[in-house]
Amino acid sequence: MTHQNLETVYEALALGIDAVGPEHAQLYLAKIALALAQALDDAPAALAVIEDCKADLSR
Amino acid sequence: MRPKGRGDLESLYFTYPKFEAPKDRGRLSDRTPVAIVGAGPVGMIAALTLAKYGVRSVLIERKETFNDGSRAICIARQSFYILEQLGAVDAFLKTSLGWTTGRSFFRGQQILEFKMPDGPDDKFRPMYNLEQQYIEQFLFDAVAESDLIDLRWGSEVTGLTDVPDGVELGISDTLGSYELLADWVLAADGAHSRVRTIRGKRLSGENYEGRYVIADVQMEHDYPTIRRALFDPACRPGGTVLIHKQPKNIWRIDYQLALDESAEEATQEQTVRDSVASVLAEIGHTGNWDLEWWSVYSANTLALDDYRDGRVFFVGDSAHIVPIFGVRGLNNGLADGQNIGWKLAWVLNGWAGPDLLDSYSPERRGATLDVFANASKSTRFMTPPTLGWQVMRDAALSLSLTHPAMGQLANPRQMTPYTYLDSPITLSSDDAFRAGPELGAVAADVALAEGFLTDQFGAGFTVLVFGQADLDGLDPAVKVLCLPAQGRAADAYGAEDGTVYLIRPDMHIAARWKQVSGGAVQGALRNILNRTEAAA
Repeated sequence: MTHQNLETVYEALALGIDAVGPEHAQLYLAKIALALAQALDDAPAALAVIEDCKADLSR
Repeated sequence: MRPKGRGDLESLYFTYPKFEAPKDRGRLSDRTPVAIVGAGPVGMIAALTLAKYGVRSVLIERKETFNDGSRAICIARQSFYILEQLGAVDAFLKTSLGWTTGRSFFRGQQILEFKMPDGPDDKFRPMYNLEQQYIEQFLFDAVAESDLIDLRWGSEVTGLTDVPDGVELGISDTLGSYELLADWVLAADGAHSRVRTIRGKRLSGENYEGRYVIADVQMEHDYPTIRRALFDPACRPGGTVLIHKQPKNIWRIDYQLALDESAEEATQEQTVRDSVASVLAEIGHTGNWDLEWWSVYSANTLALDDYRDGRVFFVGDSAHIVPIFGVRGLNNGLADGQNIGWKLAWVLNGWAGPDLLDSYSPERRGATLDVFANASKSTRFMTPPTLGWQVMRDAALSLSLTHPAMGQLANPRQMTPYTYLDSPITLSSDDAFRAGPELGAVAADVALAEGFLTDQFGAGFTVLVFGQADLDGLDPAVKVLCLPAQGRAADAYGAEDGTVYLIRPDMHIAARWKQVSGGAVQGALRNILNRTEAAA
């Protein structure tokens, strides 16, 4: 993905979280993750991302 | 602010001069073509630009010396061209620190190194660090050499009254009060502009929550002139820290305040000392350091709707307040001063009609809005304003430790000069170009066998001619620069035999023709200057 496209997605996610509000943010992000996994159509790759993202959550 | 026991102007490295209100009172009320309120960097650039074209001005400054702290420290490449045009660049080059590189860290690990464009065709570095006192000192040295600039220290503007063909200023100093009649007024009196208040104008826009303490320390610290940004460092969990090297062993440390930290508490000397010490520990500095100066800052994007109010023009911070992260506050202010300076000079000298002045506000306000768009991106990353930006920023930083592409989201995007594409004095011309600086952009520089292409530009308008071209009827005051139809310059300008560029006094491209026709250049010039006859 180009940097420009990455940035567009980044901004859309930030604006989306603010649009749904803090009470729905977690559910909203989980829906996005599931929908993107379906679009990816590659379960092993999706599972790898799910595992990778556990890293560096806190110091 | 400075440590206890030191006065506001007792610096570790800079000796403040003390200036006085004018003692010779005889001609204070003599009418002046231009009165400039505020002798900061912006006001002095405007005065020097006017003087370059032979126009007198009176500079009115409330204070009796230069700025109390280092404040605006980053001077961009295009500002160095402005300084050079005014004959003031040598002192800046001698003292400032040029730089090209920035590094961002997340929890102590480097996630990004960016380099700003810099190559053999660039006469100046993309950025230079220099404390604002030196910026003002060096500009003042140039102002003091000019017979055309009358700088009055310790002088406060108390009123502005529109009169036919001018503005009457009320001025007050320690020795008395008087009136000064000016054809035009430039309000360069800063973020808290008195002139703006008197004229009843208000800035509008957004205030961001993010607040920073900016602190200067003097220390022997071994690190090149590279801007460092620390995200979520151990010394300020969840916050951001910026570190810049300045001349005289001065280091600027900016650190973000948490939402529950009050500015009052954060600017207490002991709090600043503790905060600075923790940052220095984080970057591995174990030697001595002295606290020099500190202040507090919050990110805003505010501007006037119109930078002109009759015969009053707002320049610099009086017209716009921008976040520090794009380093455009000072640099855009200097460009404002140059822009209104040359245009007023053209009108006052009879080289252009008054309509030329109508282009100031759209051009410079356009530049401000462009800064807002870019600086808002940086600000959202440096000080996320809402939950959405906070969550995404933190996610990008967390991923950046294992996914280098995510680190690019931390790139602060220091800006390039604004392109005046929509300006009323940028002319549409044929669009056959596939390369070269676009309409309204700043002219490209090119390294020549000796020196640079811009060294040969004229003081006013310059016409670049590649190969042979018909310049029938061109005003002889315009500098014509003939260049080969092939070679480095032709490549940089996307030129062929017969290509012509018309360049303004501030180096922006006013018009360009891949194949010029007879009379076209003079016609364009006439359109820009709004005159019906060719200049003699």
